[in-house]
Amino acid sequence: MKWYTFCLLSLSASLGFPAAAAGQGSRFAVTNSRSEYAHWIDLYDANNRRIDPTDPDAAPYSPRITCGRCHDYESMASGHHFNAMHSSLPAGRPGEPWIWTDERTGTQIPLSYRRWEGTYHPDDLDISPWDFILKFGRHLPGGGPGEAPARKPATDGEPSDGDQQPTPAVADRWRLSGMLEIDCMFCHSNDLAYSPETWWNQIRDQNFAWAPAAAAGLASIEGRVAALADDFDPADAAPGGRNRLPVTTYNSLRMNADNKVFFDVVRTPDDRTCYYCHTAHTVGDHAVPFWNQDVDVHLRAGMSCSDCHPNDIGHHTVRGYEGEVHPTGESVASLSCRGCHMDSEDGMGGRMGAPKPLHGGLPPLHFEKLSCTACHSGPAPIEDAQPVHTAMAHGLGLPSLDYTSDLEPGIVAPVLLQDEGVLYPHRMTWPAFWGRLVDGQITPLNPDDVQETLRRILRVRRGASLMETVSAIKLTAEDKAGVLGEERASIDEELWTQEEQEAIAALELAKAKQAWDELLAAALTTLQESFEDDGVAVYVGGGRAYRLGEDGQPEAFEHAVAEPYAWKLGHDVRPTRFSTGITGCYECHADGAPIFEGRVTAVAAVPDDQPLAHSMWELAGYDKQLLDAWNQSFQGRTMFKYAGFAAMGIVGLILLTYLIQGTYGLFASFRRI
Amino acid sequence: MFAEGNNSFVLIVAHGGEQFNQALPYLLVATALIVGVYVVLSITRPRSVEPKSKWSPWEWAVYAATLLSVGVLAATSFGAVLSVGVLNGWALLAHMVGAGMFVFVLPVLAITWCEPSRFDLRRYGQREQTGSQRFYWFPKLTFWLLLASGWVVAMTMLVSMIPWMGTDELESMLELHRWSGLLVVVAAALHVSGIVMQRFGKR
Repeated sequence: MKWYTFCLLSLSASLGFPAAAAGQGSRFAVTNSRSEYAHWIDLYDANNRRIDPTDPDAAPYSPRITCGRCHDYESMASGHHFNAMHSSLPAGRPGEPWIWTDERTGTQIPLSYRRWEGTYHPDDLDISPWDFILKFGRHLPGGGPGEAPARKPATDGEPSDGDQQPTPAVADRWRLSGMLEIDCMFCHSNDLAYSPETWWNQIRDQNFAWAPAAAAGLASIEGRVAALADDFDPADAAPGGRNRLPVTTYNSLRMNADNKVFFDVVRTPDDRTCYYCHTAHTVGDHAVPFWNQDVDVHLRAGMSCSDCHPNDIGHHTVRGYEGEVHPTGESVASLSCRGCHMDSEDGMGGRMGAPKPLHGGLPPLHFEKLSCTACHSGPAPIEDAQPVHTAMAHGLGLPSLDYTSDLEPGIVAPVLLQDEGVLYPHRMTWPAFWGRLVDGQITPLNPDDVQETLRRILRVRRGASLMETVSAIKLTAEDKAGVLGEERASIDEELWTQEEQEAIAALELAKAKQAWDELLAAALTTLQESFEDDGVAVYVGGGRAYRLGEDGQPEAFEHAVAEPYAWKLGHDVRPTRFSTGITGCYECHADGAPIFEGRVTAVAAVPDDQPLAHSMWELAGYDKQLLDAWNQSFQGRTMFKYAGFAAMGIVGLILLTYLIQGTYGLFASFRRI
Repeated sequence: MFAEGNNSFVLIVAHGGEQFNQALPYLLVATALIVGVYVVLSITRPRSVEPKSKWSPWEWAVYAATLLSVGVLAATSFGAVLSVGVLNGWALLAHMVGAGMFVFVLPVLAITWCEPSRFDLRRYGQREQTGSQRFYWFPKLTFWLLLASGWVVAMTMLVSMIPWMGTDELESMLELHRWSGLLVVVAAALHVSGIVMQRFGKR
């Protein structure tokens, strides 16, 4: 080889080949245009076979294969909405948990695959991904637990979160149901015909693999996996028989002449899509009626959720809190409230036209002690924290006859708590479950096992709740007379005064509590017998734990597992004029100010005539004496300002006088020289 | 009023709290060194000794009240910053109490001590001395420094209490408050040392 040939090859090796490799790009397609791409595409099934939609035996389309031909499905699956089971990833800031609610047993357990402190990992409660999907699939976009059986075990051989092998029976169900893959259209459909309700119905029928096609309206599905036996073998199914896998009939109106199907895809999801899972609003007596509630002020200004919560193809959705580190390494500092509205460290403050707040007259110390959301987000603090419904907890977005304010699980807001010395508004819920106390540690029992064990004790009718069952108290005439007197007790209830009605309600509650105590004693006894001396049966709820005392009656005791779980809220952001403190210092720095002295009452799943209640300052960890001292210091502050300015006016005049005299004298001295 | 204002001054002083926190221990040590050097020089190399003057009880009271308020303000603010990095809680409340005292004692100090602290600057053609001979130049200089920085430190917070300024300007006021507060403490320390040296006949 000639020397110059060697040099040229070396040069090309060092420069040319990497450049060529970079030029190859990804095997996944992008348009890099702000316009939308018209998705006329072929459908593929889970076995990577092209689907002929006109075939009566067509398989349901697989988003993983169909969308994954052009888009990096594996990368997407590691995104925020799908990666909760990836135990190797950072858990991130604690957020809203999935609350396993079983009204029949008074159970509400905050769950999270991310192991946020105060939540329980489903594996620890023997809640399998299968159970999880059937409970929460209504608001899951697929992936994560929906594909748990398809996930590769951890490479080091040690089982990691979600790698538990399903029991044989559950494995059979997965074999029939197929995987609940990430349904891209769950968020990216621009078509109002996409139906999360259909998605949920398919999941309840265990038709996991069929859910995407049905929800998008691409196909009608006939049949239910749930109706098939565990040992059903599709190969043995008789043609046209009742026992067969669901049949997929594609909608010919969505196809063109080439049998390609049109997907009305939008790159950034519409707000209504986000709201399906992330709606939260106050309910109850003090709440503004739902029809009259405002949405987040940013949306009113024409922005969308994804403006501040964007993501890359990896679907690492920016959560938007200060200090967030994005997996891509891209700075997202300007996507927090402060970063966007003030000056962010990446110099992008003011992006998207964010106005810079004036905060006129607000001492800067407040910016160190308060998060932006403390004054601007969520329901404004009033005398009592208000009940809240969220989509994830209460199944909002699906038709229901019962969205009453006492619908379980009980969540209240705002609860202002400190995190590293900064005050944030939170939503709060109190765990409620039956558990086992061993060596001072309480472990929740599997809710279905509890139901099986206590079904005959609790005797809750189908469709009813434990609360309703225990609270169904019928007062006798003597009971009423004992409270109201013979004469008032005998008149029509509608004629009772407010005080009389409250007195009767209090009596009903006391009797319900009495009934619950009796039921609790019986239930704990039954549960204890099932333990066979392995631990102590307990019930946790309303901020307390209960066990049987020596007298056979339930006794309450304090335990860490009974502590409430709280998570920060970011929305809805209120308009400036609705911000906390907008009316002046005294809105917060006065006796009884809700931000510090609002009451937070524990919400239990069973009757409690003496619920735990705390002031906001107690939960936030403030020194009440200091708060009172501050409030006192604000007395006469206006007078202090006037007097202070007058005092400084005197000092200023003296300074000015002597400065003028001194300057004059100085020049006079120079002239003399 | 100034909410949309943005100038180089604002940019220079804004967001400097961390710098202040970092610089504070060094500046306090430097102040102590300066006072120490001054005291040593005064003792080892006494110059023309100024006549001792007798202070009235009122002057004593005013001066003591000023030093007390400055001491409370310095202890609460610098103590909190040096120990926990931020001024809040009870320390902030005590700081507020000290500030209330400082705001009202400062004009009394100004009225009581301004004439004795007048510099000797004779007007054109004037032969007689115009300035007070009670103190020599060092206490006079540090008195005016104390008064001027005290005015700034009080005004920055008083102005912040009225809804004139936006966030940046309030941050700037707070930063100015920090540095001018430090200047008050430095001036007070130097003034005390000057007064003490004079009382002991070293100056």
